[in-house]
Amino acid sequence: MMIALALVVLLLTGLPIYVCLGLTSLIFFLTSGTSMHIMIRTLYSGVDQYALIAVTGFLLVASLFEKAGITEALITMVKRFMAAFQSGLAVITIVSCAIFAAVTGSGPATVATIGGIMIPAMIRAKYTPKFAGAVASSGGALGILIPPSNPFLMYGIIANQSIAALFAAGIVPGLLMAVALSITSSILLRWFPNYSMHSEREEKKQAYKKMTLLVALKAIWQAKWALFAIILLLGGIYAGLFTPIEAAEVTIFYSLIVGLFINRTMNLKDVYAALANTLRLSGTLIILVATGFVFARLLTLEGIPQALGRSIAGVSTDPVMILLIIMFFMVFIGTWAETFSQIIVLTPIFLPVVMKLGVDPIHFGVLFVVTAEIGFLTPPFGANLFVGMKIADISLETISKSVLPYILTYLIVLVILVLFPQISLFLPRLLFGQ
Amino acid sequence: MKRILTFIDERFEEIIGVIVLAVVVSLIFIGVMMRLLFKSGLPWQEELSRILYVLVVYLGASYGMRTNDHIRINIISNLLPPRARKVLRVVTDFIWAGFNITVIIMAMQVYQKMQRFLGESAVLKIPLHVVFLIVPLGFTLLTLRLIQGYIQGGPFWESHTEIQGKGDAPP
Repeated sequence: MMIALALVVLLLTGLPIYVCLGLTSLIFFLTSGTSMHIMIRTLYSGVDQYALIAVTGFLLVASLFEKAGITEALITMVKRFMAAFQSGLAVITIVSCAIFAAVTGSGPATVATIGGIMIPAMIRAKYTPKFAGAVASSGGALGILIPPSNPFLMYGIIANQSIAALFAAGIVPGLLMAVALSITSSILLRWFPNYSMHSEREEKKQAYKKMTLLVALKAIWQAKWALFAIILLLGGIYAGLFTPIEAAEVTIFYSLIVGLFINRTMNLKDVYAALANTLRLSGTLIILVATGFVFARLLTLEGIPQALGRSIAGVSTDPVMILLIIMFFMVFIGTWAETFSQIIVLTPIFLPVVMKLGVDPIHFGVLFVVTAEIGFLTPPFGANLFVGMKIADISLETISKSVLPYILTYLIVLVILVLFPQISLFLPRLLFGQ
Repeated sequence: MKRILTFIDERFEEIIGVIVLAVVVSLIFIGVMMRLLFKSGLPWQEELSRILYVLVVYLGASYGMRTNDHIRINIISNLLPPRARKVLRVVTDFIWAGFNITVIIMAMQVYQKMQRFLGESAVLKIPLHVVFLIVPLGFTLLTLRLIQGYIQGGPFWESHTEIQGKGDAPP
C-alpha cells in the first residue's frame, strides 16, 4: 500500500516516470536494508535484452515507411477495394489501419500515418471533423493488437512468453476488432446522418461503377511494396526464417531499398532524420524499462502479487469474474498511465494471480493489450487522441466525446475475449501446438 | 576548437547515437543474411548488438532531454498557475538531479566491486565492468543536460504545454 501511495504521489508531481519508478524503489530498498547493488545492476541488465531492440526497430520501420511512400500506396489500394463492397470512407479508414497494423507495432504511429491521409480526405468528403478524428484514432489502436506489436514485445519480455506466439494470438482478436469498429461506424452514420453532410449513397454509387477486374489488379500492383512488406514480415516470422526481433531489421532494410532505390522518394537526409527521431523516442521510452525492472523486483520482494491474489480470492472464486474485475481495474489504470509503464508495473502484479486461476499467459497478454488500446482512446493520456485531434484540428474534449461509441465497442469486444479464450488461443495453438 | 565545443553542446548524443543505432540495426540484419545465405551466423553479433543497444538507449534518453521528451504526467502542473508551475518544475528537477547523482555514485561503487571479479562477456571477452560504465555515463549525461538547461537561460517549461510528453510518443 505504501509503495503504491509513494509511486502515485511522485507521478502526480510531474517527475519523469522513469525517475518515479526508480526513486520509489530506491526509498523502499534503502529502508528495508536490501543491497542496492542488485538494483543498480538491473539498470544495465534490464535494458540488455535482445527483444527490446525490436521495439526500437519497429519505431524506425514506421518512420521509414511513410517516407518511402509505401503507406500511401496501401491506402489507395484499400480505397479501391472497399468501393467494391460499397463502404464509405470511415470503413476504408479502419481497414487501412488494420492492414497498416501488420507492418507497425505502434498505435499513435498508425493514427499519424493513416489518419494523416484519411482524416483530411473524410473532412473533404463533408464528414464532420470530430467523427473523422474519432474513426482514425480508434482504428489506429489496432496497430498494437495486430502483429507486430510493441506492447506484445514488452509483455513477452516481462512475462517471459514466446513473442511469436503472442503475435499469432493477436491476429484473430485484431480482425474481430476491425469488424466491430466498422460496424460501429456504419451504425453511427445511419443514426446520426449529420456526421456526414455528403450523401453516402451517391459516393458509393460513383465508386462502385469504377470497379473492374483490371482496376483491382492495378490497385494491387500499385500497393505491391506494402503488401510484400506484410508477407515478408509475417511470413518470415512464421516460416521460421527469422525471429520477431530480426523481422524488424529485415523490414527496415526492405523499406530503405524501396525508398532509396525503387520509389526514390527518400534521400539519406530522410534516413538520418528517421534514425534521430527513433533514437529520441526509444531513449525516453526504454529508460522506463530500466527502472521498471527495478520496481518489479521491489514488488516481488514485498510480496505484493501474493497479497493481492489473496484479497481478490476473497471477493470471488470464479476465474471469469476475477478476470473481469482485473480487466476493469486495468482499463481504469490504462486511462491514466502510459502503456509501457502500465505493462512494466502491472504484469508482475497480475500475471501470477491469474496464472494461479489457470488463465493462459498468452490469453492474458491479449486482454492486456486490448485494455492498453482503450487507454489510447481515453483522456487524459490517450496518445491516439492527441494525434487524431491535431490532424482533425479539434479540441481534446470534442474528440474524447466523439470517440465514446468506439470505446464502448472496445469494451464489448474485451468482454467477448474474456469469455472466449479460444479466440486468442486458437491460432498460437494451431501454429505452435501448445 | 569552438566548432568542436558547439558540436558537443548541440549534437553529441544525437550523432553518436544515430551512428550506434545504425550499427545495431545493420549488425542484426547482417546476422540474418549470413544465416540465410551461408547457413552460419556471426557468433558475436547478438552480444555486440546488445551492448551497443544499451548505449543507444542511454544516449537517446540524454538526447530526449534537449527536446523535453521524457514521459511524465503533467495533470497537476497543468492545473497550476504559471508561477506555481515553474516552482514545481524547479523542485522536481532538483529531485530528478538528486536521483541521477545517487545512481551515479552507487553505480561507481558497483563498478569497483565488479572490477575485482573480472567477469567477461561470453564471446567477445569484453570485461563486464567496462560495459557497465554505460550506466553511470548515461546518468551523467542526463544530469549534465538537465543542469545545462538551467545555465542556458531557464529550461523548457514554457514550450512544454502538452499533457504528456509529446503526442507522437509511442508505442
